[in-house]
Amino acid sequence: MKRSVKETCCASKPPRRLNELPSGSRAVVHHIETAEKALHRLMAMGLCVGREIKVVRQGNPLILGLLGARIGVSSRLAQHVVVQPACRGSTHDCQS
Amino acid sequence: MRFALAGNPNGGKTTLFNALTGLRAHTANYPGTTIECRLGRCANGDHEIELLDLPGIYDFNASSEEEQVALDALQGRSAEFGSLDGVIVVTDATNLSRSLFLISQIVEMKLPVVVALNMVDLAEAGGMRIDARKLAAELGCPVIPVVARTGRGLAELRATLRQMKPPAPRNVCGGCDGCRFRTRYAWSDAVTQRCVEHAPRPPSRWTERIDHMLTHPVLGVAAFFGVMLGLFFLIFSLASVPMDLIDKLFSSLGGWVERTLPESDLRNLLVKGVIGGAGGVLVFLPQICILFFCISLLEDTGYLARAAFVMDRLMRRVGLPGKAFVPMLSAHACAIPAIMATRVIEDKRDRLVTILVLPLFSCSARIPVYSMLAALLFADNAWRASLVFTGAYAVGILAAVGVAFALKRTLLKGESRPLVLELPSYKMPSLRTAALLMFDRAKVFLRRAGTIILFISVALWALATYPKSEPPKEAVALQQQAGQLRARGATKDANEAQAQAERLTAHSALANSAAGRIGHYIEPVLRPLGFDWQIGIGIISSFAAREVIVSTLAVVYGVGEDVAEENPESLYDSLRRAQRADGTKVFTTATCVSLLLFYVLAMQCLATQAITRRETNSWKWPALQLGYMTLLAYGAALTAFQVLRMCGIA
Repeated sequence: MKRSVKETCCASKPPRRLNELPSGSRAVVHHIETAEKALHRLMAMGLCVGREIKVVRQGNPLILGLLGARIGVSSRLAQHVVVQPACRGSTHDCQS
Repeated sequence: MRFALAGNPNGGKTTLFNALTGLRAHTANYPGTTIECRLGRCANGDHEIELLDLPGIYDFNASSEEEQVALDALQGRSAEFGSLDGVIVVTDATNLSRSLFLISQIVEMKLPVVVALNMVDLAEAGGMRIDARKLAAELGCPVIPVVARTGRGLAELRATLRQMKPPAPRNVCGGCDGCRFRTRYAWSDAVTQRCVEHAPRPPSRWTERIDHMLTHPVLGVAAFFGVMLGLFFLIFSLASVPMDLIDKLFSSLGGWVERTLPESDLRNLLVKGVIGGAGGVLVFLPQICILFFCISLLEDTGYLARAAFVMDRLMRRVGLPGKAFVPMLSAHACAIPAIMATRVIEDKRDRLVTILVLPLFSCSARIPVYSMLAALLFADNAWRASLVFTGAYAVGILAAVGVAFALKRTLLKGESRPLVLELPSYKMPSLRTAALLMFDRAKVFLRRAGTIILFISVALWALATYPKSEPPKEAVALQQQAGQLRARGATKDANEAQAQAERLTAHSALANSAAGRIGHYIEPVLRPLGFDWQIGIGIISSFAAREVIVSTLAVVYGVGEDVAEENPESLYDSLRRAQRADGTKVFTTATCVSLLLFYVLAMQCLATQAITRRETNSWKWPALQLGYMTLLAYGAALTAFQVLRMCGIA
């Protein structure tokens, strides 16, 4: 099976929950654990498996950077989102 | 021709709607819901266009009531709003790839669609160039760049609306129902890449710095309280001028009617019932206008979303979302605009809980009552008197938090919806949008609540007036005495006797009226609280507006309404002297504390009930509000009075 460049590159780091990432870090959504209704809203805002997201500010609630917008998300919801952290700052770094 | 405006929240939908329709718009509840849609008209060449502003949504998943309403309206399933001739999708040009997600779903509905690419000026300032023609080709529908705030591009948009046709049948992302999120986003990304020329420019450091501070867990909360304090100050200081003016206007209008019409029941009804009631409705308008004008400005700048964000963590402990905080603070000025402001709360249960507890916060109408009781409790000690005020406010806040907590765990149970809230970019607010919202809220209040308030004011006037009774003997004797004195030239003494006779007549008229009789009937219920039948009359007559108790007590205890207004000390003095039949004082410390608690917690505001009915679309909730608040007030007053009496403080 062919895997995308992003995933291969960052696979060295173990997946983590979204509410555990430090402020300013980037990550790729790995999978989402719940079918809660509120997550549908988040998915319609750009949270989607395989897409890159940014943690603008960690905390409860935390601020996510999704598709160029800032979204405030309660950490209760964020803990259900499992992400693959980017190697350094940005996933673009991994490609080189 | 009917068109609907659809789009993401914060995309400038309302600004575009206002730019197109202006004052020719009104607010309607979507049938069967409390979701608001705005309906408006605008001329377009020879035809008239009807516009329907749908709630802002991100998706058609119908996971919320707003989404369901928008979906129903677009599919023409609502009988009241009928079928549509087309959809205008309002899109934030600065964030095209996300907007495309919703656009792609609307395009698939096979309705004629035009995309209004809003805020192209901001996109250009950010170094983004969007090729509208290419985008139109990708979507198969016209794309018009506009700036709703300045009116740029609106003429082209109108022209396009005249020649709308359904798009060629297309499925934007070839059967992507199973994995709609992923495929749709891949498609949006690809379209964005093809149509947007992005000259990357570093994002403004300013925005980031301001945002960092305003969303900080500590600084953000401090900033929020600063902003709210300012808002409060505005409401209190600015609103008092027009409120006094309205008060004066209506009392002079009443005086004029009193002078021109002969003494009759009709005159009395006009002055006390109709003019008094209308004044009682209009007096709320300044606060409503100022609050909504400021809230609209705050929302437009993008600040309100930050405020809801920082308050969310604190409010969750009570079980309410951060957005409930603005109404709760404004309720300290007046519960009516606060209840109208709960519309920002998305979850229906959260909104109901907030509406139910809002009247517990001490509003400005309680201040005259608190002043009176503080003066009765601690006549000559300003510090202790201010302690009474602080205590009353604290009791109100604690009761509201406690009731909200209890309601969230019993009657309106349910996990509150976890926060998912977009923090939009900071923008210059639009004064036009703020002014239009203000007019709209004022209109809604007058039409829906005003009529109910006026009706019940007249009913309460009748209760306090009928059945009529003869003036008491002493009053008749005094009247004669006054006549004799005047004949002898002792005008001053004559006037005094005349005034005394009038006070006695007013007192006996009220005591013998239906309200007075009810006061007697309910005395057994009120006695455990330390109240007598005269306070009972006060409670009944102040059912419509709690501040009325001050003037009613003035009449009941024979001071006279006018004297009490000009010189409150004379009222306080005679209240202090007031005695029961057995010679004991009426206003003991225990009675005052009990009455204070009663007025902190009791509903006693008809306008609030009317607006609760209007905002919840049912009489059930105002009834519950009245019921639980009366019980709470009764219980607290009973406990306080009995405990104080047992402790020997009487």
